[in-house]
Amino acid sequence: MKIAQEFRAGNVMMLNDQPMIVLKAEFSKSGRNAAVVKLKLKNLLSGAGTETVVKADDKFEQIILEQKDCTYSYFADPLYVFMDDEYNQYEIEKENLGDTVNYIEDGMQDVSVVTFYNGKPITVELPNIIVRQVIYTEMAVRGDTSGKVMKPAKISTGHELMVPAFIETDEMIEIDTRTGEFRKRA
Amino acid sequence: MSNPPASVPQHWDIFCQVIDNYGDIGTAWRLALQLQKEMGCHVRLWVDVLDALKMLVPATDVSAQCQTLQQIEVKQWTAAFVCPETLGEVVIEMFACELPQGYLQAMQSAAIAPIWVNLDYFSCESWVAGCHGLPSFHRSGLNKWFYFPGFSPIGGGLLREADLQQKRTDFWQSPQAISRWLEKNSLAPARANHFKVSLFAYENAALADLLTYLSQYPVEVYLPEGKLAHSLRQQAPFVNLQVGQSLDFGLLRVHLIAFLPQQEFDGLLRYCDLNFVRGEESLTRAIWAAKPFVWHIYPTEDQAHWPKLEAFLTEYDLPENIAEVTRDWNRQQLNQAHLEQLFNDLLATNSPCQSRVFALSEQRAAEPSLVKQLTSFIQTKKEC
Repeated sequence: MKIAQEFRAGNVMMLNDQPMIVLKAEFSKSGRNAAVVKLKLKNLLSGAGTETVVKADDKFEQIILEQKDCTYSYFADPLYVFMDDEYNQYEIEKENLGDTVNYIEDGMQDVSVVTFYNGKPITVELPNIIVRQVIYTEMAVRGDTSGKVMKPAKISTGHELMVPAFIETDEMIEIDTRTGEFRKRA
Repeated sequence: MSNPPASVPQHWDIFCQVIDNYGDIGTAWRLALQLQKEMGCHVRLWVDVLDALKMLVPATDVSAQCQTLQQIEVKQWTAAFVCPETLGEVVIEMFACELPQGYLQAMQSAAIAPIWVNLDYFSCESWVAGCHGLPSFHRSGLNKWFYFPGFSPIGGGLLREADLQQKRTDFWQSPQAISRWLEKNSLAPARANHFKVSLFAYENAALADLLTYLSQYPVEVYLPEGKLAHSLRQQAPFVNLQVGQSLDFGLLRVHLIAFLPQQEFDGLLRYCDLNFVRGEESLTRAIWAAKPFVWHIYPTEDQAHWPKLEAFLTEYDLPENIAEVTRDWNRQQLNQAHLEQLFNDLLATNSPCQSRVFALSEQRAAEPSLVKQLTSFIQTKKEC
C-alpha cells in the first residue's frame, strides 16, 4: 500500500478492482495539518478517464508493472516512441503521458522508465530531476537576486514554468518532474 | 421548524473529531442546527470531546452518552463506538476525520449506502475549484464526495442562517436589545463615543503593541477568556486582570470577558466597530457581522496558511488598509503606518472602510448558504 501523496504520474493503482493509471497528481494543503491529492486517472482496461480527490494519507494498492529503461526516440503523432538498449521500440499514446509530455524534447538523453500492462507499453516516467534549456523568459528587474520573486519561463517543448527572476533566456535549469517546479540552475 | 423540501434526505449523521480549539465543533454544531431548523432534518451529531461543545452550548451534559440539545441528537463518540441500528441517509465527516470502523462496515453492507461527504476546510485558493464536489474513491469500495466551503463559484457557500440579516438589523436598531445582550453576558457597556474593538485571536506577540497603539484613542476593548487572554496576562499592567474586570490603559479600557457561547458571540461582533477573529468559524461570523475585521488565520508549521490568507484577502477584496494590518497581525509584528491608515479611516465620521465591509458582507449574503448548496448537492447525488 502507498499513500496518495506518494503517487505520481505514471503509477498504477487498483481502485475497485480496476487498474488505474495516474495521469496527474496535484497535492494541496486543505487546512491545518490536512492535505488532499487530486488525481486524474485513466482506467487501463476501459480507457475511461476520471478525476478524484482523496486525503493525502489515504492508502491505495499500487500495482508494480513490468518496466524497462528506455530513451526517447521520436514523435509520430499521436504516439511517442521510446527505445530500449536492444533497439526495441515502444509506442505510447500522448494522452497516457500526462504532464510528462511537457518535458519530452527531441534529442533528450534522459533515461526514462517505460511501464507495461499486459505486454503493452502504457506510460513513461522521466527521472526525478531533468535539465532543460530556457528558450524564453522576460528580463529580470535589476537588483532582485533573492530567488523569491518568480516569473514564467518557456522551455523548448513550449511548456512554461515559474523560475526565479535571476534566470535568463538560454540558461540551463534543473526541473523536478514530480512537482513540475524549478529546482536550481544546472 | 420549516418543512423540508421533499427530496432532501431526512436523516443525517455528522461526525466531528475535535483537534483543538472550537472551530471543528463550532462548525459541526452550526451545520447541524441549520439542517434541523431550515431543512427539518433529523441530525445525529457524533463528537468526541463534549467539553468543547459545552463551551459553545452550555446546556451540554459532558457525561451523557446521548442527549438532545435544541432538537439535535448529540452522541458521545468514544473508542468503544457502537454502531446505531439505522444509518443516516447522509453521512458527513467533518474536516476529513476518520469514520469509526464499525460505521464504515455498516455502510458497506447497507442495501443502499448513505451519501458520504467529507466537509473540508474553507479556502479561497484556486485549486479548491478543481476539487470541490469531486468523488473520492475509498479503499472500502464506497464512494465519498469532497465538499469545500467557500465563496461562489469556487466553493460551496458559507454557513449562514436564513434570518441572520434580520436578527443583525434588529440588534442594531434596538438599544434595548443591546442592553439586554450586555446584561445577559455580564458585560460593561462601552462609554459614549468610544470605539469598540473585540479581540478573539490565537496567542499573539503583537498584542502589547496593539494595545499601546490603541491607548491613544478613546477605545474599549472586549477580550474573551482564552488564548489571547493568556498573551494579555503576560504583560503589565494586565498581569492580574481577572475575567469580569476592566482596566484603563491611557485612553483605552480593556474588558476581560468570559468566553462567549456560540449564540452570544454574534452579539459581540455586532456590538463592536472592529473585530479581531480567529480560525474559520469566527471568520464566517465576522463576515456576517458586516463590521471591519482582522482575521488571525490558523497558523501551520509548514507556513501553508500564508497562501490561504492571501487567497482570502484577494477573493474577499477587503480594503487594503485592513489587509495590511491583517498581514501584520498574522506576522505578529505590527506596523505603525498601517495602523494609522486603518484607524484614520475607521475613526472618521463616515468610514469608507466600514461602508465597504458592509457592502462586501451583503454581496456574499446574496449567495446561497452552505446548507442550501449542500442539500442541493446531496439531492443530485441521491438521484445518481
